[in-house]
Amino acid sequence: MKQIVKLVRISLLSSFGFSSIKYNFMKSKKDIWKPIILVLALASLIPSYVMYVQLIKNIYIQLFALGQESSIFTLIIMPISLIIFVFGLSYVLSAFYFSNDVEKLIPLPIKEGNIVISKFISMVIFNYFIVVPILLPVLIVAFGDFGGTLYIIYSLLTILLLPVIPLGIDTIIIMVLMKLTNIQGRKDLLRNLSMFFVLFIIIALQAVLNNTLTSMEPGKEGEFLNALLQRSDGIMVWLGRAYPPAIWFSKSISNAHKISGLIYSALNILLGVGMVYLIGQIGSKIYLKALLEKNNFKKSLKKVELGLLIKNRSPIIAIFLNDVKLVLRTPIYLFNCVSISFLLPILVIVMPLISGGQDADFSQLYFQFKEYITLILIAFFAFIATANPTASTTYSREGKAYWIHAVLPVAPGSMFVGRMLQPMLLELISIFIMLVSLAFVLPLDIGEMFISLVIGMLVSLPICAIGVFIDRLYPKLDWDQPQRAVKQNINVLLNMLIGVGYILLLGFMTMKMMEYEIGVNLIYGLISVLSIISTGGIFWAFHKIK
Amino acid sequence: MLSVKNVKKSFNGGKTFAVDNISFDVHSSEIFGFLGPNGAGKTTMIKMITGLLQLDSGSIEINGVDIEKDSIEAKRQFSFVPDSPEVFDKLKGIEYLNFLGDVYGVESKDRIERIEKYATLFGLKNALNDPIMSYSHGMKQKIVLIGALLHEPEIFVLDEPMVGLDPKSAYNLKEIMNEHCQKGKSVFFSTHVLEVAEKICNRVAIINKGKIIAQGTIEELKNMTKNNESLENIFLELTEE
Repeated sequence: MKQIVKLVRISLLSSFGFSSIKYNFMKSKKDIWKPIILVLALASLIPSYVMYVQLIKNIYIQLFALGQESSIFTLIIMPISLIIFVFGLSYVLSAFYFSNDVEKLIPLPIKEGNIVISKFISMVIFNYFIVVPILLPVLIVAFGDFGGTLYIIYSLLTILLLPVIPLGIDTIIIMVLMKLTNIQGRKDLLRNLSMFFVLFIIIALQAVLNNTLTSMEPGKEGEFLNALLQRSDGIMVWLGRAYPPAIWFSKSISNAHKISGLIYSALNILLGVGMVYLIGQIGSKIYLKALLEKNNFKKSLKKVELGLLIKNRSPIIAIFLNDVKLVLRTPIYLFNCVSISFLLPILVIVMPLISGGQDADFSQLYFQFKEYITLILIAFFAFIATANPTASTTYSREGKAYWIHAVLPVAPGSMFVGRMLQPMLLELISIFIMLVSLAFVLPLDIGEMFISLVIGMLVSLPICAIGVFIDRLYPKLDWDQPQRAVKQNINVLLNMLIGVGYILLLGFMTMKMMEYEIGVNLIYGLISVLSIISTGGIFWAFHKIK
Repeated sequence: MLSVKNVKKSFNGGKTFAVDNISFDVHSSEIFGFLGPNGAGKTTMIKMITGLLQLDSGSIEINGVDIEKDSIEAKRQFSFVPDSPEVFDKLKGIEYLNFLGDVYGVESKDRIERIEKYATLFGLKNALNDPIMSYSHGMKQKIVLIGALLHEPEIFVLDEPMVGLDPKSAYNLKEIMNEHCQKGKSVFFSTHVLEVAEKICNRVAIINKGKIIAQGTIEELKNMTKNNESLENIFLELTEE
């Protein structure tokens, strides 16, 4: 146990980089701006957070009126668990299989199980940054009706234990996957494909489950609602049907002053401890073996024919291809940068379709907003660009190999274009998938599709450009696992904030222009010109970086 | 070929000078050794020469081109091998070399010829189609070396190049350095291995606490001492607290 505590402590110290932050802040005065930017970025989220708290309050009042107030916990615990689960897959992969620290721990006299458990606990602790801000308002809002000492204790237990199950499932999936795909020669490819496959199966399963459980016979809706509202935990059980631990957590808090609250809390503790034990056991059996075999490469035995391997390319294409290879061959980057291009359209359009019966809603929406559909699509495509971290981590992803680009005689213009090509290509793929999917649901005409594609790309240009610019200025190069280059990179947040700001600005301008009855074609033109000029400005600023 | 004039670089907001008013010249056809204890300022100096760090004051000219005023042209004049061979692990050896060839604009014919020559010399030819992440430390060092030689730079800048190389490869590297100088080009490298510096350098500079405390040919340095001592003794004498 002592060993686990020490390992977790070291892992957290190194992950948060307290020592280097203190050094940079106090001694070298380097990165002194970073905490300020972080505070500003967090401050900019305050209005959205206030809106979230207000929304929770309103929902709680509505549920209270229905006598279903206890379901507020399940309503929030379900999406938190899903978020932790989905994002946890790549996090687990990075922490367990692509982190440098494990190789330093292996030669030390530490039990394998302890290494696995300590890594798992560190990940759980990191996830409190998701759990606490989302769950805390719910616990506070409901305090008036459920509150008391036991409520506080069980709430704290819920916060502590909530990430354990979804992350535990992630860890088991990844460990088994890494064991099964440990085939020499094509490991990375196999793993990438299987990660996508697992994620797709989970999303599809969730959608089908949703579809089956929500489908009811026509005319029996009233009966269903009656049954739902008859019991005080009716909505809670219905909401948490796909993930029972959400119900158990909710019942432990909402029944804090009853014996059932204690029983559910004990069940949750048992489940959490059991999961940690299981991970320790599975980990000590299969983790280290798969990890050690990770670097057993199949050496090419063929004689190298240089003539066939040498190809001349321009510096721009060379930089672009280098960037693409780095992303495609690093599962963490592939998962975080490329998968979003495919998953976002799937989540937004295909999922509701699989869930069933909502195509009518799409068409209804289309006809309601027909006039603005292209503008809405453009805004959505621009949002996809802000959500993709490919541009804002282009230098950070290179880590310690960054020196290569720093000493190369490449003109800033070529470097900029080379770095822009990959995020723009991914944006094009996203838009294409989105439009093709939409074409099945909406009676979009070719003109609307073409305009939204072209202007969507143009509006995405400055968003990607600012990402490349920020990452050129302040690349995050000092990381011990690739996940940190993407997931714990302030540049991604900055890019997102500036991108959203830009979309809001364009939206505001468009609304004003419509108020003055300016033709839609002129609006398209002005948006395009503004985006091109903005990109030009960023391109000029990129040249000035020393 | 390389001209460093009154270069200063400070950290901690100007409180500590890593490089304090350093000047030296590296001439054509010359191997110049840069010696000093750990933390003396060698790597900081090399980083400024290669454009990885900005100067506080002074100037650095590479083949007549100022690194700060025209960094792209200056970067065409040299190639750099760092002390730790951190490269794009996910690329194959040949992909890394091709990438450098593309960026430096090396013609296919020359590229094939040079890769063939150096990869064979360093025993890396059959590993070129393998991913760099499968390479040992020494092999990574060699692929960086081959990449640095690909465009036949005017100045070859190396930071601790012998670390991690096997004896045969270290010997080959010394031969390459000599060959490079015979073509009228120059080599600037830092090292801890004083025997190597003594054997192959035309001139050396010893840096300590950010200042150059001695520079000249090995003979000139030896003449500074009474008993014509070895470079090791001169080094220890000059750098001791």
